[in-house]
Amino acid sequence: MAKPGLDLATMSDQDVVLEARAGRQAAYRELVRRYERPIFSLIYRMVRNREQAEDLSQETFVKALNAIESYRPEYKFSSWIFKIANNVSIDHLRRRELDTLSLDGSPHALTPEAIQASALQLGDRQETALEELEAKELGGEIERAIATLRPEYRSCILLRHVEGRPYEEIATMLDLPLGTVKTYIHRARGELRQALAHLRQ
Amino acid sequence: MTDLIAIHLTPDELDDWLAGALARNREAHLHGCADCRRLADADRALAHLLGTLPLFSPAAGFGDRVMARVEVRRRARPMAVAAALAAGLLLPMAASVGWSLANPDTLTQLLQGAGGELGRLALAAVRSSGSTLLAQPWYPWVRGLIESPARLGLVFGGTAVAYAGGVVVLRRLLALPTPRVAHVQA
Repeated sequence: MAKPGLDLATMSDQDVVLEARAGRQAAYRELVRRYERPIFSLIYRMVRNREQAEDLSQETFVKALNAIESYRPEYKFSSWIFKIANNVSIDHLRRRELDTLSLDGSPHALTPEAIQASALQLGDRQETALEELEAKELGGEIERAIATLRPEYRSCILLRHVEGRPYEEIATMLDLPLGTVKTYIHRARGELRQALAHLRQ
Repeated sequence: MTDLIAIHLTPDELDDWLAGALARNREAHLHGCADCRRLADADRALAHLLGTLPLFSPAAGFGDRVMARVEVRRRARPMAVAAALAAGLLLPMAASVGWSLANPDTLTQLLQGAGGELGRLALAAVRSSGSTLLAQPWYPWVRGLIESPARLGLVFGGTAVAYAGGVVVLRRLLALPTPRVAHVQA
């Protein structure tokens, strides 16, 4: 329970972390409250699955809060937690095997029966409520264009333009040279420009 | 000399333009180049589109699910630690003083007995060290040195300089490099 008169909502991240280190559960909750939406949004746009995004977001916060003693206050807390979120997302995407489904069946299928079994059957599958929500949230042109980017480009462009982080902070968060971050963002912008060119015509 | 105005904007310059920080001479190129203007406008529209993307919320109760898995550790507060240390030192001291005041005769006997024994031991140690020192082969040389103030000054001066030099060298050898990259760990 917070000390009487202590308004965590008005304190800086660093001060809230100090309160959390002193064992105040309310301070932990305040950190979750501040960052749950930005962290979830980043991860959701990276993995494009709500359930997985929730699990990964939880994992991010649990990792960060259980290691709060190792956080160094001279760096921004937001950089630290976004770094964890990005690592968790990229690790998940690497582990996940994405089978390529085409209308004509999987490229790995060898017999006519296997091809038919792996072909995407349009119209014969009902969307769950979750899938409907995902389609609504991530079905827009820009969201689908973002989804076509390589994960490294995607995280950089989201951190730059959705989160509004400067290049130097992104480089620190992702442990990348500044030049690499700029290259990724420039290339991502180029790909998105092409993908959305039809909207401008 | 390359005509800077004729060179198309680089991606970094497009960034600068988006941030409102493009150099004047490069603004001149932008005004005169339809291709660069098209790119710049497209980038501005894209930046605006990305900047207005909504934030999504996880399902209700997310905070509770996180807290169920977080171990809230209570770190001992510095004041509490200092108070515990102070109590740990002061209480035995107070107990000792209290006992001494309550038992002055016993204390006197103990001190006399212990003091006498300690004094005898100390005297024996000094005599033994003294005789050992006199028997050393280098003792006459040391005695000669002590009896000559000039030589003694030289030895002390040389030792002080050697000590200072050793400290400087050790500090240089042990100095840690300043980290150049911000490193955060999780």
